[in-house]
Amino acid sequence: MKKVFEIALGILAAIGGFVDIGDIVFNTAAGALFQYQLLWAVVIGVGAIVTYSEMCGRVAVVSQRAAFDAVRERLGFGVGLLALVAGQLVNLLTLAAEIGGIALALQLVAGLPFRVLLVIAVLALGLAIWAMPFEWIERVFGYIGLALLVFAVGAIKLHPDWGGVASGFVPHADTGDLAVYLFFVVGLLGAATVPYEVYFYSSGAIEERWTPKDLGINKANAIIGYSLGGLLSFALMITAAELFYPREISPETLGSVALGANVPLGELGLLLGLIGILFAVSGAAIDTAFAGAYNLAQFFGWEWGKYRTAVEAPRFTLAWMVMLVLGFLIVVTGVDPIQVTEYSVIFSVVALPATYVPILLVANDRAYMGNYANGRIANVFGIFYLAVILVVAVAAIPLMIISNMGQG
Amino acid sequence: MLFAVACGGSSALTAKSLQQQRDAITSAAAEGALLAEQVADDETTEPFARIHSGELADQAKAAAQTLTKARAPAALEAKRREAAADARSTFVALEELHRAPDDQAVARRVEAELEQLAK
Repeated sequence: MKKVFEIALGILAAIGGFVDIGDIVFNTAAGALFQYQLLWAVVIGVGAIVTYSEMCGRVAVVSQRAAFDAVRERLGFGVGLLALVAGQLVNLLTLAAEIGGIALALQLVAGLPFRVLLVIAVLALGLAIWAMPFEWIERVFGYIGLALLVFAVGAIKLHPDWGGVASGFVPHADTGDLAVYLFFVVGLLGAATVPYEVYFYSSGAIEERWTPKDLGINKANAIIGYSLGGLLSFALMITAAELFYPREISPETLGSVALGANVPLGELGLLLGLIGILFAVSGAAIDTAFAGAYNLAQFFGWEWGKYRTAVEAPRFTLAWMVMLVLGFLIVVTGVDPIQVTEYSVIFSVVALPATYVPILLVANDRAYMGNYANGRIANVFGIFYLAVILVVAVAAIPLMIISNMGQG
Repeated sequence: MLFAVACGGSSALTAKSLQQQRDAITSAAAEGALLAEQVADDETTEPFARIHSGELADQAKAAAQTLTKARAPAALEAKRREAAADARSTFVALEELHRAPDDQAVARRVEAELEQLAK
């Protein structure tokens, strides 16, 4: 049981990072529009986030310094500040979307007015972050978020064409609109590798007080946690491919996603799907609120960490509270949380190299990492995925314009 | 998600934008039919059926408003009118489900209507 709890950080990072409101709807839309054709993009995304999470977890364990420390040190104050501002804006947009997503999920469960649930959502989040120790935040939101596995059961029950599913793991574009297809590729890769995931993960390694003897746990967290996130992405895409693609349904809301669990598995499937969505999106909201506070604290050298009390780390505590309030204020204006998330994913793609390049550099620095520096295999994967990230970062905005934000 | 195609205003319709509106109506009707089927079979919850049918009704309403206000070239006018009528019918059916989210008889009828509209 202890071993199960030890991979909670990876589970939360995966459930809250990989499977946030944007991913949930984006993967569903990809399946509805392109059937199984984009499964391969999820594999690439999982590979990238596993590689870099393992790397930044290792850097954090060995140096006791988290990802944004490395960003500032390697990029210098000026460029580091630019990375901080860009990262914080994306974090804030994502947090706003997640808070909105919690209220949407609650609304589908309880049927109460959206704005009332928005207030309840942000108060509940604040209370959970304030009252619960870091490990319990991981466990509660990570493990209850696993209710999303109901979509995997639903996908199987819909009897997909397994040959077609297998062909989806080989990149091919059987579509008339290549720009929309490529826009979805960029979106899926970007959603899988959003910077807040690695900021949260590396800071979480320090929160958990990992030492070099925990490097195996670090590797297990990265591989098992994110692979699980990938599995959930596959399930959402396959469900949509079976249920929505043949009927030409273009899923636009969280309710459409939940219907994907309702149709094959009835009321129980619906409730489990909604609970999974609720806790996954709540986990993502906590990830992003913390990531914002971690980034600020690490950049400016403040005391930080959930393991410290509010008195010991007052500016860190204030930072996550301000993040929550700002996120709430954005979404209470009436913007569509799902559209906000999609924009935040695309803009975060542009900022990806500023996060991933410094991590790769520090992980290769023997003066910093000693015997724990990257080996050949880590570098082969690291450089390959960095090349993918660079291409995606350059292509994101042009594709957003050419594809009319995926509308064709 | 990214495919909200309601443009508002009284813009000129092109063949492409008309097709986008048509796709939005078909999508809302087909998804509404699936939802109505769950209600008719007593396989869903009342809050979910009420909220989600309301969301789908809003999508159909937006398409109906766009199609009603838009100007279309003569060659597309008949198709515009037909699509606007379908959008209104889809909206009315989804609104009915929204108002009676636990009535299985209503849901069965709405399911049949929406299936026709989705074809």
